[in-house]
Amino acid sequence: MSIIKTIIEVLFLLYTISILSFYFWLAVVSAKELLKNVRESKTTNFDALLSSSFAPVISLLAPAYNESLTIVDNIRALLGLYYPNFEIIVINDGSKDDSLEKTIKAFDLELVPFAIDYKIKCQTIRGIYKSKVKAYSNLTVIDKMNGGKADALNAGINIAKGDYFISIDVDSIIDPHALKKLIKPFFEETDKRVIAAGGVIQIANSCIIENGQLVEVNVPDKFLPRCQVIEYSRSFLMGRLAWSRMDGLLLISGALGLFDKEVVINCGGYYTKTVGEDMELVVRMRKYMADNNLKYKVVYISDPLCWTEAPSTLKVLGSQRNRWTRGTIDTIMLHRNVFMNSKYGFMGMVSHPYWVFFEWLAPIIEFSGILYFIIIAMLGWASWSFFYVMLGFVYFFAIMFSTYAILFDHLAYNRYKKKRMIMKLLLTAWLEPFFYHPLIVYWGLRGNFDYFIKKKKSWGKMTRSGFEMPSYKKEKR
Amino acid sequence: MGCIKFTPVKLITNCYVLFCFLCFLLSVHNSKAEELVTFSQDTVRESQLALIDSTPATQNNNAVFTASPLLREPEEIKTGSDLPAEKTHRNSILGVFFTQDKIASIKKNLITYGNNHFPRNVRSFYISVIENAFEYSIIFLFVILILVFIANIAFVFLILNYTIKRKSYNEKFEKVYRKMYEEVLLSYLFGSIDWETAFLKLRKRNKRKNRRILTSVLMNFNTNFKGEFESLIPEIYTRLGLQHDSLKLTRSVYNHKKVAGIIELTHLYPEGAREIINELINDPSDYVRAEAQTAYVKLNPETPFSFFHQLERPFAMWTQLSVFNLIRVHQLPVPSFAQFLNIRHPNIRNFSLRMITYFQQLENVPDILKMVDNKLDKTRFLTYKAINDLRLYDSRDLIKSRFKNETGKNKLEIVKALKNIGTEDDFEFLENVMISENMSLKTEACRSMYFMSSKGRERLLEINSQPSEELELLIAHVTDPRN
Repeated sequence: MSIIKTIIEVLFLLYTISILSFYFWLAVVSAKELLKNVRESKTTNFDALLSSSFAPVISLLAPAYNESLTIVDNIRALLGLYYPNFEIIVINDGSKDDSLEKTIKAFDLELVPFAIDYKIKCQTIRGIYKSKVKAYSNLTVIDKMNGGKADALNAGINIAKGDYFISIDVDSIIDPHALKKLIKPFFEETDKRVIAAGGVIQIANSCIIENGQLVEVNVPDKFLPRCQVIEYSRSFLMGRLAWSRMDGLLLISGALGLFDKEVVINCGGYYTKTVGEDMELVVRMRKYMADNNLKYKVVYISDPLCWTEAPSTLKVLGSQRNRWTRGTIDTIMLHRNVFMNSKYGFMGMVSHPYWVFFEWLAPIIEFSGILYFIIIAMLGWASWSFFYVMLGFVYFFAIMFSTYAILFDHLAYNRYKKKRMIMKLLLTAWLEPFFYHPLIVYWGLRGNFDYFIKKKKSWGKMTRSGFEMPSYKKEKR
Repeated sequence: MGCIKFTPVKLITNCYVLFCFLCFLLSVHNSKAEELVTFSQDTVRESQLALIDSTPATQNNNAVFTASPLLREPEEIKTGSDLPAEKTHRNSILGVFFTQDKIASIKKNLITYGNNHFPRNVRSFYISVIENAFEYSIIFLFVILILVFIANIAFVFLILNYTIKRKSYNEKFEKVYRKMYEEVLLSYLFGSIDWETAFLKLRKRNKRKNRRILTSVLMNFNTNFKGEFESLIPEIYTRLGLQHDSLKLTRSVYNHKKVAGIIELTHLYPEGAREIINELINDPSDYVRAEAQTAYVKLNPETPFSFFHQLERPFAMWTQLSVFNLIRVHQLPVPSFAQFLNIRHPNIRNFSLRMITYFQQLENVPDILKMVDNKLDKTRFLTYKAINDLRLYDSRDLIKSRFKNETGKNKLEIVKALKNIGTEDDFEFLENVMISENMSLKTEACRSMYFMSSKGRERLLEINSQPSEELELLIAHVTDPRN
């Protein structure tokens, strides 16, 4: 019995040390990358790109499903992006509301004859709409049968003119300079082909938004979105930047990502039978490049290019995290041959195993650890002094990590100008491990349960409540 | 030993890896100690029970006293290090992997590693850490770490507090001085005050921060003012001795500073920039190299691309755009780009093809046509595009002959080219494309035929005399200008 106990305890300890080591390592590499990006961005001049006739066409793909409330404003905001050569393709994925009718009316659209080249399979396209007004000449609306986000994106790729396309969530707010910043790495790289690029996603809850544009940045009033602000900062500024630098990035967020269309088509487009289509596509693209011995790179840009509404209720957040977990498991399972496969280089030997052990299995192992501790505590075998020390160790590490994420965010972007805002975030960082983290573990477990036991494949309900105003603005009104 | 370089990141990473390893060893160490305590306690209890069992009932009270020394003095139970090795390893699962000898050898190896890899002044500290790590319990290490984390959190708090204040102070500082310098320099430029007065009014101009603001103001003026000011602004820059700051920046170890220096010198002190640019066009950093190459073009208007022959690394697309923009905006004279078509870097070749097309350098046609047989898809694509844009009518048959073995994208470009350079003789070719190829090619072939000439349109109607839904759609598609 004591041998088993020892094995279990040492394994837990090793796991804890490994995960914290990984976090530490990623934070150090991210800091270096962030510093480099921030410094270089000060002298980068985009005038050459913006005024050049050689700027490549970028197709902006915005799948929309029941977005009637915001679709018109969001398209207007997209039309205002700063880039010389882009088209917007809004894909109405069989909405049940009046999204299409509202769009047709707002932009004076009409059905046009269009010979579609189905390079990637997708649900039947019912019609292609273009505007009669010249000012909207770069807007195309596809009306198709419902097939999910991945299918909608595939339909968009089929009619996209550009060599590059951006997939976005139509309800997200895209930074007006996002396109030029995202395309830059594709032009800078000389030795490798850049196949995809992503940018930092930020939380827009409580921020002031006018006509689809972000006017003022605020810290969310509610606790849950505030926790997500810290979580996103940790994930993007202390994780993905490092993976990008080490060329091991497996995920480009579905909210904003720029892709090389040719590579996407060659590897079959978005996979429609998964809820984690964004990660699955990146892994498949990487595999395709590696299988064909082509040099490639997936990059992340440290600039905040996209603002999204974070779930502010437990139900919606739970559904989102459940889906993320199922998407992760699905991708890991679909590409299990990458695991520890030296053929896929860093992705096979480090990134994929990292996702298996520290993303997918983390909630399971954490829960098992808690369960194990409860059992040994009940049996009177627990070493309480060791428990308190370890609890303190992990708790303070978590807070330290979050505080550094807030610091990185502040030094890089200086988004939250008021001291009060930063203090609010710091306080949230102290509370988060007690209130928010256990929920994330629970939803992670539920995701595993739903994937393996219930075999759930649906997206679940993701209700948006619309960008809420900050409390002080409400008071003014 | 003397040539070992220590960067902070490497040192941190090294220390952290070492820390993890120590944690692991200590966990082994600790587990062993715990196991041994359990083992010893079990042994004690077993012998105690044996004693109790073997004692007659009548002597029970005394027996307790006889057996109790073992219980009364648990502190006498020996620790792992005191017990024989074979007992230690029998009960510890990790003993399967690590014997005491092995742990000792690991300790020895760690010390040797430190002696070989760490700087002399760090070694004694390192050795004491190793010694202590093998001496103390893992809890001790974790408590130290907790204190380190708390100290870190406090440190970040202070940094945040400081930077919030500092950033706001810097913003205000820059705003105030920028406004003041702009006013003084504008007054001087527009003749309201003379240089001596202006010089006196440029307060705190000797401070580093203020000099950076002054340079930034002059850079802005240089971008926005033309005419007679073009020579006056660099004059102010040199009078204030700001070129020394910029030159110093170009020698910095930080790439962003180097780039800032290059930009400032290129715009405001070209003579100084020329001296350093040649060394930087092959800089290992992409970022510095790109800026140096762009600067080279600006500083050498007579021979802007002579550096192509010296390039050791590819010519990035981003630099190509910057260079092209520079040529366009400053209307720099361009050379014949055919001379660069044989350079080994494919992206210089591609850039040259683009430039030949843009500047309509028809004298380079024979060199362009040779590129049709190039190995690279992208180069061939640009060649077909050049043939189309330069309207090289005689190349129709050449590009058609390449169609069969081309990539999808290049096939599309060939069909597109026929729209502008094709004749009735190409109808059959286009019809074949419309029958056998994918929808994109069919659409382009239909477009080429439709817009080539009125005969093309007649031919399309002729084919459509037996109505085909697909052809009708294709014709409708190509005739809608929005598609």
